[in-house]
This record gives sequence, structure tokens and C-alpha cells, in this order.
Amino acid sequence: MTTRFGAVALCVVLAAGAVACSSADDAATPDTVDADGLLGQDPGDCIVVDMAVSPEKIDLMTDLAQTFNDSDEATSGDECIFVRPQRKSSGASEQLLRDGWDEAVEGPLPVVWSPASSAWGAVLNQQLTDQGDEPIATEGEPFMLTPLVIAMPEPMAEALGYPQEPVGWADILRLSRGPEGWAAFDHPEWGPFLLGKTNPNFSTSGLSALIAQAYANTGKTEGLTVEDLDQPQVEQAARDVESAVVHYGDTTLTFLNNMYRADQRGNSLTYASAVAVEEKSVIDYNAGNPDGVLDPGEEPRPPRVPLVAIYPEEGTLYSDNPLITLDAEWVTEQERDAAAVFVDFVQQPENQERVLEFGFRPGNPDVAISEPIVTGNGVDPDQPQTLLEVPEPEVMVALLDNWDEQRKGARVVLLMDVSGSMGDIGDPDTGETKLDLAKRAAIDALDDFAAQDIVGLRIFSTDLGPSGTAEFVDVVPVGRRMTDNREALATAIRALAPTNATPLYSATQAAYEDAVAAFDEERINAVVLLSDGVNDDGETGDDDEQLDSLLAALEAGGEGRLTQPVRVFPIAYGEDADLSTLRRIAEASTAAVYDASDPTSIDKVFAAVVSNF
Amino acid sequence: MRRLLAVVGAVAMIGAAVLVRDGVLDGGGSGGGGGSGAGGDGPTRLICATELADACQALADEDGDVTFDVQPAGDTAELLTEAAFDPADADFDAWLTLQPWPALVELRRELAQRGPALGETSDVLATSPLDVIGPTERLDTLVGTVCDAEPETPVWRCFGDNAGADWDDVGGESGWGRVEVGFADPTESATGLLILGQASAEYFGALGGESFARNDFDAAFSSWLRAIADSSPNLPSTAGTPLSQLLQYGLASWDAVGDLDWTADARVQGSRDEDSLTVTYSSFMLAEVVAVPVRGHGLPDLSGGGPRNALLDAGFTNPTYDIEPSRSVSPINPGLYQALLEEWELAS
Repeated sequence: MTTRFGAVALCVVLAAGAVACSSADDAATPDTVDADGLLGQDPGDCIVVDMAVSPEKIDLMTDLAQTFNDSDEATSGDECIFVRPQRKSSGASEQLLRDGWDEAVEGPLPVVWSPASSAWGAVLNQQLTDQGDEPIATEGEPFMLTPLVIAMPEPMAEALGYPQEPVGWADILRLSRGPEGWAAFDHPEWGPFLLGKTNPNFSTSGLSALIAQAYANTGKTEGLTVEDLDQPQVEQAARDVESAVVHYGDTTLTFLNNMYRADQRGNSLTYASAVAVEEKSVIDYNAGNPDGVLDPGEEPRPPRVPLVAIYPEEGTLYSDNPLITLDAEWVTEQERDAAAVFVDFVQQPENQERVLEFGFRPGNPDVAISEPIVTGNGVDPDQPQTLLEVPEPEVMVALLDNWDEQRKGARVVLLMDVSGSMGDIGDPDTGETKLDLAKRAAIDALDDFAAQDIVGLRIFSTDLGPSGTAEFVDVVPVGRRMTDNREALATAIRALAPTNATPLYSATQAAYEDAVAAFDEERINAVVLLSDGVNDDGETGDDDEQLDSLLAALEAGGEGRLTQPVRVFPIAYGEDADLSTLRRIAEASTAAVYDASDPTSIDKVFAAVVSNF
Repeated sequence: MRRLLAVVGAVAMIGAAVLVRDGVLDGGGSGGGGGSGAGGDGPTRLICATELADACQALADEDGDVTFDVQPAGDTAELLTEAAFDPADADFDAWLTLQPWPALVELRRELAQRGPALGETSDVLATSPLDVIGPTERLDTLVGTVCDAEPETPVWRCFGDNAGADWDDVGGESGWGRVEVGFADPTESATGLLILGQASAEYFGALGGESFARNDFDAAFSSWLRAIADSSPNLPSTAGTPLSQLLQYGLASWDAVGDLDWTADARVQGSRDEDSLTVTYSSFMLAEVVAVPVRGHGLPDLSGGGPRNALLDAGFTNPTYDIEPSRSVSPINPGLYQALLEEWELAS
């Protein structure tokens, strides 16, 4: 049946594109072998059921596993069962299960796999079949559910007439293309209609939003064709919508964190007007926990302006978080039986009620949808009323291909630290320096920019330039489209060598101010800052003053509807990087910081950063 | 709504008890007592159609000599139809399923010029009417506004006529999307096959003694079936029956699904959407539970009180129904079911 195949098709296409697709939120946290879960605990002589669990539910699953392991129910025959979840993002685990799972690096092979959506199981099976292997993903029982929604600040949703008036993708897109922006709704003070969308090559939310956008642009709700996408008016509509995008990114949590910070400064209405996210993220946001994770010392504080979940009139898509017991050679009959005991356990009503605590809808229909999924939290338990059809694979390919052409262009300065410490060893196994690794990652990341993007390379250290006194040098000036500039950039990056000190603050401020001066309103304007150390320009007495000046400039530039937002995306590179300061820099410009404290992760981090453009 | 059972005299939980007490589960078998697989002594191994899993679990709980596996009827039928299947080597003794699957297996084997695989099918052990379940507001709109318009159209016929239509074209709200109606895959599910038969009989007007045949199939019927097949909602997983999906995903999933009355009652009651769902009926048709041994294998004597009660506790009933003849689906023979399955596979 075509509609069912569609769900499978979605991710088959992703696979064809060899991209790292994740759930709306499950790219939010890096994969770690032992950061969460129960990997550190001794299972004794019990049957061990290893699980690979997408990050958004690792805390819940670990909690349930712990409860289960300690209970009398953790038995199969005469033996005890020990369930051991580990965090693995959906896309990453799918690729590992397909290409080979190195237990020494990735942790134990899973008996049970719980990605964000069942579609991942279909992807895996399709890819295994394509490469001549047997499928291993069985159909898993949905553990918990959450629909994709359009999150809007409440006053903005009300201005559209919601909830009395239904709002659909088409309405949102029409608004984003309209030249008047919010003035058309008697709110000129809110400025243009700004759309938050994640990169569909990385985020399932982004991909779902792209599908919905395509339907809205064609006036269809099913049966989308390649011919539909090729119509000139549809192409133009897609470009118009993309032009309203704030920036992209690998996870919706970046938007929610930024919106929350803007809210705390009283500016949430000027950061983004609408963001496509999972319903549970709206609940988390309104509880004052925008990324769903409370860091040590953090306490949830409700935002000044709450978000409202709009369930689009035309339909939406669901994440169902299945528990898939793998039919793989490494899974024994004994482990399979033990897994079944745990799968039954988590479906028990008292355990399904735990799902609600995390803002998800229980998979067990006998458990009522209740707090926190209530209208008071900006969501509606009686929605959604209908779902969108996922297009056929060839249409998905065309959608993603077209998006590469249609997405909003970017004007980006790569600001790279070439201080002496970049010459330190980054990978002891290969002997490569941190700069070696960063250069390779940066060159690889050039391919992730769109052809129309304008990218330049600026390096910073001390005693640079012909005079030997400069703190930065434009090695490749920002100016030419990536199509014409890629080789020059790659060549320049290859030639970089470690030099002297780290004038982090002054170099960042200069790059930011230059980008503001050259602001291009048709593009996403940004500085990607890679640094491996603390500010060190040989003059420690003015460090605080420099940082205050930088942060003030960044904050001032991001507020108010007539501003020219240039976002600074820092990469904290290596274990000596000043992550906390870099985070402040990112937050001041409503961007996001990326943690590459392990230098060997820099290639993944660079790709994630570039996903913002 | 059309709660036929509200106006019929139902005498529940009698038939199955009598049948079991009379030892019909011995039918076709050579053994009794503690079971008799092909190899003689040892536990009796059952394969149970998915719909009967609870009943089989209850049987196994009551009788330590009974073991069982649960499998969709279509999978068991495929196994039994394979050329390589040898009843003497079978690793199970009997099949607890719904009609007409045993006869369908023998028909397929006959068409493939293979000998019989099964023994004699028991009398009917229990029955259940077929239900339609859906969100009340939507069923009221579709059935009340569209199907019940003069002349009244049977529900499944009406569903097929409107499957895939935009709700705002048939009196609903645009936010409801399109009309999504269906039933479990009939190539796999015992229940799904029956509802395919029921819906098709309604399409051809084969109620109250009127009949239909493969010769009646035409392009219009194919389109009608395809509309139903294509109207399934776009859920992230195909796991579970349409009724399970309706209960899990609520209004975003199905607008109406078919299932067994005993299943629907058990699943809908106590579910979170119980108050907003309606269980109703279309034309009248009974699902019939039977047991059939693998040829040459035997069944245990299940006439004791324990097994009988286990069956009853699992939801087996055998009421009598006083149905208006014109609303009853005429009998459908196994050959016609096979033809419907082939048509369905083309349509879907």
C-alpha cells in the first residue's frame, strides 16, 4: 500500500543521500559509550539485554531499566535479566548496524534498538537488503509517541487567530513569503516573519518540515510528484520560504535554546516566529527547560512568552520510538526471550505513565494522555487530526536535491585559530596534530556548503601578516560563491601552520564587526570560530574588558527588529579550549556552541556546524 | 448507531462450552489424554491464529501438556501449502484458527496438485460478529450523513465509495484530512480476510441470500478495493492491527476499522479514547473459530472444566443471533475468498 511504503521511503532516500538523519532532538547530544545508561554496572551472571537508545529518551529508558533490573520481573526461566541501555542517535546506530558495529569503539552490540521512529527500521532493512544482507529489524511496538508541530510564541499564534482559526503549513509559508511580515497582522513591531527550520540532511524534523512545505506549495496533501516540484511557481515558492529562515542547524534544540535566551532578555518575538519541532519540545520549553535536559545547578524557569503547538490543518508526522528486538546473528534466543520480558515491562501502565513525565504520549493506549500533555502547556491532546503522506523515494530525492539549490544562501567567515598549541598532537594513534585534523575536517566540510554560499577564510594568532603585527589575516576573502572558491579555500586551508598566541576576543570582535559591515540580508550571515585555547594576546590586563566589549556588541547586534543578525558559531576544539567563554559568545549572538573537546571528533562537529547554513 | 446486537437475543457463552464438553477438539485426531503429536506421546503443539493468542495462552495455562506458537493465519497457511510441507514431519499438531483458512489451505494444495495437509476441521467452537470501530464524530458524519442517505448503503460499501475522499467533501471538517478506512491485511490476518469478504459482499449486494462470484469482478470493483487499500493512514509503523493503531494514534490514524466483536470490546473498553469511540456494525457476518489437526496428528481431550473455562475466560462466546435476513452476508466459499485475495493483492 503506497501510503505505508511512504514511511519507509522517507528514510530510504536519506540513506541514498548518505546523510546523518536524526530525530528532531536525537542529534542534540553526542553519542557516548558510557555517558549514560548502565554500561558501567556489573550485570553479574544475568542475561544481558543491551539496548541502543536514541538520546531524547535515554534518561527515561535507563530509569526503567534500573527499575526492571531491581524487580522480580527481571527473570527468564531460571535466570535473571539485566537490561543495559546506551545512548545512540537514530541515524548513527542505523549506520553502525548497516556497516558494522565495532564494539571496542561503540559499546556492546544491541539486542534491542530503539530509534526515534520505526522508519529507521525500514531504512536499515532496505539498506541491508540492497547490499545483499538479511534484514534484521523486526517490527517494534511503539514505546511512546510525539507528533511534529509548528511551535509559535503565543501572541503570534493568537494574532493568526489560533486556536479558533485552524492554521496550516500553507498559512505559515504564505506569511513567511509575504513582504509585509507581521505588519499584515497589525504587529509591525514584530518585524518580518522568521522561520526556524533544521537542516533536512541532518534532522528528521527538518525533513518533515520540508515535506510539509512541499505539500503546501503545491496545494496537495498526498500524491506529491517530481513534476509537481519542478513547476516554476512551486520552485519559486520554495525559495521564498527559505529566504525567511533564520538559520538551519542539526537540531531543533538550538532554536529552542536560543529562543529561550532571547525570551529571558525580553526578545523572544524577534528571534523566530515559528519553528518545526516535536510536541514534547514545546512542553519542555514552556516548563523552562528548552533542551529537555537540566544541567547541574540549572532550574526550570518558565519563559515570559510561552510557545503554542500548532497542529497543521493539512496534517503532520509522528515519531513512535519503537523497541525493536533485532533478528541478528549476535542475538541469542535467550536474549530475545529476555528482551520480550522487558518490552512487556515497559508497556505496563505504571511504566507508561513515566513516559508522560518526559512529555511523550504513551504507546499503550490504555494509559490516558494527561499532564503534561494538556492545553495549559501549549499542546492539545486531541490533536493531530490527520497525518501527511510521506512521498515516494524519487520525490524525496528530488526534494532534497532541490533544497540544496533553494535553501537560503550563507555568507560565512571561517575564523580559525592557528596559535602554536594547534600544533599539539590531536590523535595519538596517528600522530596528527590538532591543526592537521582541523584542516582535514574543514576541507571536507566545504562540500557541505551550498554552491551559492559565500565563504571566506580568516586566520588568527599574533604577529601575523607582512608587518608581523597583525592578529588576523584574510587568507581567502569573503566574496566569491563557493562554486568558484572551493579549491582556493581548500588550498589555503592545507597551507595553514601553527604560529603564536590566541587573541580570541579581539579577533572574534573584528570578524563579527566586519561581517556586520558587509551584512547581506538575502543570506544567513555568520562567523564560524574554531579555537583551541583561552584568550591570550600577551596582555592579560584587558581580557575582561575585551570580553565584555565583544559580548555587548554581539548582544546588541541580535536584538531589535531592524538589526543585522550575524551569528557566531564557536567550536571549542581540544580539551584546553575555553568552552564556557565560547558558549557565552554563542549565546550572545543567539547561535550555538559546538564541543569538539575530543579532537578526533572535529570532522563530525564541523559537519554539524555547517548544517546551520 | 447500528448496534444490531442491542436488538437481538444473544445467548452468550453456551455454545463453546457445549462443544468443548462434547470433545469436538478431538476431531480428526487419534489421541486423547495428554496429547499425541506425530511422534506419539508428549505435549500437544498448537499454532494459534494471532486473534486467538489469549485463548491459547489460557489453554496452555490450564493444561501443562499444551504448548503453542502464535502466528498470523496467512503465515500458517503459507507454511501448510508449501510443497516441502510433510504432515508426518510437522512440528505442530493442530491449528486453532478462523474459517475459512483450513479449507483455503486445502484448496491451494489441490490447485498445486498436492495432497491434503490437514485432518477434519472441528465444528465451530465459538463465534464473534464483525464490528466497525471509529471516532464517534467521524462515524456519525460518514454513516449518518452519507451512508444512511436514501437508499441506505451498507457501511463497508459506503466506506469504500468514500475511501480517500477529503472529509470536507463528505460533510466532515477539512482538518480531518481524508477518509481513512480499513482492516488488517487479509493475506495475513484471519479477521482481515473475513472483512474483505464482508465488504465485497456488500459491494455486490450479496446479502440476504443473494450471491456473488469471481465473474462479477470488474474494473470498478478493483478501483473500489484500491480506494480502501490506499486509504490507510501514514503511520510511522505498520505494527499492530488497524484497531491497535486507532487506539494508539487516535484521530490522526483511522476513521473506521473492522475487527472482531470480542477483540473490539476488550480493547476499546478501558482505552484512553473509549468515550470518543463508537463500536458499530455493518452487514452481519460471524467469524467462526475452529480447530484442525495436521493430518495424522492428534489433539488432547479438552473436555475438562479447566480448559473449557479457559476458553470462555479468553473471550470465546457462542451466542445465537436473530438477525434480519436481508442484512446477513451470504456464505462465501473458499474459492471466492481465494479470488478476493488475488484481487486484493492486485489492488494494494
